[in-house]
Amino acid sequence: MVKFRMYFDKDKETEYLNAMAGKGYAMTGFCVGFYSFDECWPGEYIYQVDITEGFFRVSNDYREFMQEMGVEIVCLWGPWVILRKKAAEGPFQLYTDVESSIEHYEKIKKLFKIAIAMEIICLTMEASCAVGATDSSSIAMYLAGCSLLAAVIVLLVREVCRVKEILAELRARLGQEDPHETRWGNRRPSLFLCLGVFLNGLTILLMPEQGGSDLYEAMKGVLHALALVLMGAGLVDTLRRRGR
Amino acid sequence: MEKQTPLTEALFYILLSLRKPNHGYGIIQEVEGLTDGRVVLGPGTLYGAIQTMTAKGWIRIYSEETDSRKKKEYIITETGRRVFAEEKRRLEELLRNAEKMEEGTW
Repeated sequence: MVKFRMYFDKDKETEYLNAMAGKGYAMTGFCVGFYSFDECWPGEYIYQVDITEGFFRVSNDYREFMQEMGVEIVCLWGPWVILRKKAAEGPFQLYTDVESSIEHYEKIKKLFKIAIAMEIICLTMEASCAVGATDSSSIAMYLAGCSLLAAVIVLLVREVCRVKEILAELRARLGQEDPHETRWGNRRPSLFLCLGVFLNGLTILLMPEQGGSDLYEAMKGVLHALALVLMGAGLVDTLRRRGR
Repeated sequence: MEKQTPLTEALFYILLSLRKPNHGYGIIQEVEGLTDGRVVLGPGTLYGAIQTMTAKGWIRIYSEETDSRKKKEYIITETGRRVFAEEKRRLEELLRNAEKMEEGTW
């Protein structure tokens, strides 16, 4: 069985994999959003998602260590590692104290920040292409690209805020409150903003060369208006939260 | 030198269980035993702690057999013992001072 899912939040992903294992589907592989499952006894495995220093690889040390712990490395994807352990061998939680959880989420935060930096580089390249292009259809293509990249950047910034909120909560448990990291949950950019920018990109992408039918033009107009409204609402929502 | 103490509970108990050679799973079991099941180290926590403490030179690999059935064992180093002793002094001070609480009751 293959299912498509997009997760930015590794805790939600872990929940999903464990819910599936509970129903008798053990995840066995992953590729760009497609999760493949084999049948298993309901609740046979407990899944966990870890992050490593490597990219599509883990050190021999890590591999041997997990093997000794009775933990199976199911698959590697980028810096992520999907692990599982037989539920019969007892509970399976990767990070069991506040200090190591903080280290774990710090690594995740760094990863998202690197991703944002890379997306910004791509966005700058697309934008400079748009400026350099001469015919309207390629300008539209580049602008659509910019919009879609901007939507991804907003999503990633939301993730950084979410992780910062988790970190602030963990630090508070140690009594080390960082004034810069409190209330990050309120400060994350609105999902409306992301949807609006994404829809805006789609609308530009749908732009016909010339002379589409009236109905098509009207539909496009409605979509674009919706995109603008969403972006506006998103901006207002974001600023309002930040102002609180 | 960077201040090494207070140690986290995990580091404290891992150092303690490495006073004699021990492997990963053995550390988890020993710590669980020492604390009556209160501290159960997760694999991620233990792996990170071993990596950090090896890098700092508090523990070192004791034996590594090429035979894959034999597990990698670690042991505390002299530096590790110094850090542990410093932490012990700090904890003793805490306990000594904690006794003073009794003086306030009659």
